[in-house]
Amino acid sequence: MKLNRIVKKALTALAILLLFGLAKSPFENGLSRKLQEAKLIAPIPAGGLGGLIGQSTFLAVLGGLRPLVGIYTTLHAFDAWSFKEWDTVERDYAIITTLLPDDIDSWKTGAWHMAYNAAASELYDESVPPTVRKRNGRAWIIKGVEYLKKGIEQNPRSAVLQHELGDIYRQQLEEPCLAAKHYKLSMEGDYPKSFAQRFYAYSLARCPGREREAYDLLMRIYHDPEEKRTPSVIKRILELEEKLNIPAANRIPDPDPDLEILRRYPNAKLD
Amino acid sequence: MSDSVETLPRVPLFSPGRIWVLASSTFTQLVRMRTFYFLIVFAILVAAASNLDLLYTPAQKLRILKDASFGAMSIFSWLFAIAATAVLIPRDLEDRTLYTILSKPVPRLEYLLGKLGGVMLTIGVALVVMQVLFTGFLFFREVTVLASERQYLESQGEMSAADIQVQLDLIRAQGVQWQLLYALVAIFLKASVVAALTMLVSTFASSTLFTMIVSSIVFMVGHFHKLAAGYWLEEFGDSLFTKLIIKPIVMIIPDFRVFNVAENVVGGEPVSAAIMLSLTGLAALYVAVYSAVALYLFIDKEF
Amino acid sequence: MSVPAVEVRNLTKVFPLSLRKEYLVAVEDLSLTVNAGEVYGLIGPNGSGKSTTMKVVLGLMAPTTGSTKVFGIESRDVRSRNQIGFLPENPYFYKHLTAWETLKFYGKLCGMRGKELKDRAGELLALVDLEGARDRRLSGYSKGMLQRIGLAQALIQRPKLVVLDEPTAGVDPIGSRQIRDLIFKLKDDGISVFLCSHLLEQVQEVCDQVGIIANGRMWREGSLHDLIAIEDQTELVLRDASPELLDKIKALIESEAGGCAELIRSGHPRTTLETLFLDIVRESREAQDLKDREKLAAKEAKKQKPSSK
Ligand SMILES: Nc1ncnc2c1ncn2[C@@H]1O[C@H](COP(=O)(O)OP(=O)(O)OP(=O)(O)O)[C@@H](O)[C@H]1O
Ligand SMILES: [Mg+2]
Repeated sequence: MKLNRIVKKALTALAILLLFGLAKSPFENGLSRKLQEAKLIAPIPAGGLGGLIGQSTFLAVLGGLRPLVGIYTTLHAFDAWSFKEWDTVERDYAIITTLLPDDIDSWKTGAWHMAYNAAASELYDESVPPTVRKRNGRAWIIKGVEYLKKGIEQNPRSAVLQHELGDIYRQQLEEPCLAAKHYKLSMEGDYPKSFAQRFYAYSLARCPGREREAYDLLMRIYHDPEEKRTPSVIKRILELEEKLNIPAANRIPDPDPDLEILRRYPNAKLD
Repeated sequence: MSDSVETLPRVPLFSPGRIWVLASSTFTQLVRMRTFYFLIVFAILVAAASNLDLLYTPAQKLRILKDASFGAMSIFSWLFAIAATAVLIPRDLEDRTLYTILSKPVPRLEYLLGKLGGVMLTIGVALVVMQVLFTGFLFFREVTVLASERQYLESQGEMSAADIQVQLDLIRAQGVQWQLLYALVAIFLKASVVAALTMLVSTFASSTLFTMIVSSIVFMVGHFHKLAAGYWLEEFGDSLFTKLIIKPIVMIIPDFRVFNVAENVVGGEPVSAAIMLSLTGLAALYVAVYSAVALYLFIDKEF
Repeated sequence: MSVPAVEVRNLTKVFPLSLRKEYLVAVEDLSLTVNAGEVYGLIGPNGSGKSTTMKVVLGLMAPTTGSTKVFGIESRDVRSRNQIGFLPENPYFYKHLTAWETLKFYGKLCGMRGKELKDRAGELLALVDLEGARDRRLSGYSKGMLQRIGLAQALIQRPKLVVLDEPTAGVDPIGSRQIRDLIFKLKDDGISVFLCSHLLEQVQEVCDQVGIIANGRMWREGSLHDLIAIEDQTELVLRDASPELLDKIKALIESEAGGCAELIRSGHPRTTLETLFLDIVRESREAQDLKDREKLAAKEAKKQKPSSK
């Protein structure tokens, strides 16, 4: 009869907990939704996570160790980078950004590793014939682009990632129109405005069919006292004046002394 | 006979003073168990993280320091909440300290709240110490990183002063911010719920090990059952299995993910006071209900 | 008449042994009364239910049936504990505290504060002779020292009733003597003491009332004097009796008309509590054996039933 009482008590306790669970559930679920919307708790990790990382890591992630695992993997990727193990770097960054999907810097660093470091090491790998080199290098650049696009999907408001993507299109792939598109998007974010605008203008100037637009923008920058007349701005304007046959009267004055730098370093690569 | 009741000094039914005596003695006990040695490990960890100089951007240098520190604080707090709470009551029983305490005019509710309060007090103090320590490191790191970044940007001569300011402000956003205190609070709330849960388990558990295992399992399940439930509900539909097993489990076990806001607050996401209030309310509710059920199980427990 | 310090009425305590329906009757229909100002000793062999009875009195356990009261208040009422100081068997306290901190901790639990508490703690440390070890942690205390700090702790709020579960277990002769003296002192101060022990010499020296318990049942209860008195015998105790006087007395007895009185022995009076105790234990064992045999027989009978069907 005593044991019966204990069992009865346990069942009562369980019932109380269940009722409490029932009562608090709507509040808890609502709060959870609100927190996800406010980006305060992680959205449910993407499906690929299970296959990507080991079980222990998975548990660690659940136990609130997410940032620590993120850091560990970052260090791991750093090691891999110094040994030029590009596949490892790629996988590590996939993990890092799955764990920390809103860590902009990780998206940026990962893409940089792929599109610049990995690509360069393939491009200058002398043990491989030049054509193969070029193809491999380009493959890494594309990987970087794909990776960044995923980052942008997760962080649609991030101007930094848009700018980064623009950079890859401009510097690595020489796709000025695409570059311009992403620089333009970065102008809408919290990226330093004059910076974003200049790069947009640079790329636009090289995008066939949009020279007029580019010229107008560059002239606006040129005349804006707040903006810097960088050598690149002047160089682009000079190019476009030729292309668009701007009447001599409307052309900007002799770039000297603004292009002082060009004179001092005749081989400087300005694009 | 009834007058003898009258002549006895009255025992207040509920005395915060006594709870405080029990809590502070629990605090002393935990401190004298050398638990605070963890703080040394923590200091080393933070010092190491603030000296990491890899290929990180300036903002990332600060972020990594924060991630490491708050990660360690979070682990410490829930691990400690489970371990300390699981050990305390069985140990009192083993040492027969419980007999001497309960044979003084101490209601059992006060005993439970005193123990729980002691654990929470210890976690709170440890967290504050860690926060101070880490804020010091972060502040120092922020100052040096800002200085070198400003110098670098100025030497490049590409950016206007205003643009440089924008860049520095982005770095500052990752530095010492009031918002970080919210992360601290969230970690504390989570640990409090875990401690209350562990206390509840320990009132019916037969051994310390059992308490630790059950609490840890509930804690882990509480991090993914909401995710898994979605899958199960799809997979099994409205079967008996979901009705009898899945749904009750999802109901009973707290959704601990809710308290994980610290990670993203640390990342610089803004958090409103209203949300913190809701979180605190939820945690308080858990602690209250768990303590009540623990008392229900403990009140006529025999030793 | 004043309210008794402890009143145990028809107490039965049953422990479930396992998930199967097996029970252990630790205390069975036990009644006893400790009057205010009295020292009551409960004696019985190991496992006879002494500690169980005390725990019920202290409210650490609930009675299965029956009731226990302390100064008229039910044991489960927290207020009953206001007047109790308890020393459990083989006490350990928080090892991380010093003697001084221990006393302050228990004093605060009783609602004492400040100077009152400090004075009382100092007084008690002196009383149990631990002033020298006041600032040492209890982890370094010997068994006897722990027993003494346990006593001091029990007395901290000046309770009117002290419950001692084997106060001298593991304490050396000098230590037990000190504890005995302390009990005398408590009695002088009008404090009731309810103690249990299986050390008979001690009990008979300090107790006014004695209860002998075995197998959870009270076998004999009364004042020590009554318990060991043998009804049809009379003992003369003389001081400085000369051999001549003794001879005269002997002659007087023999010359008694009818000659039914006889001198059995003369000499110094001796304890018979021990004999009594052993007798009772033997008696209770025999009763238990009988019960067991009956149980066994019943079981056998049950077993045979199906086969006979
Ligand atoms: N919590 C419990 N659960 C089950 N059985 C118990 C429990 N406490 C005591 N018992 C049993 O009850 C009986 C009486 O125990 P108790 O401790 O009261 O004896 P005691 O007279 O104090 O013995 P000792 O002289 O050895 O201290 C014993 O058989 C014991 O095994
Ligand atoms: Mg005993």
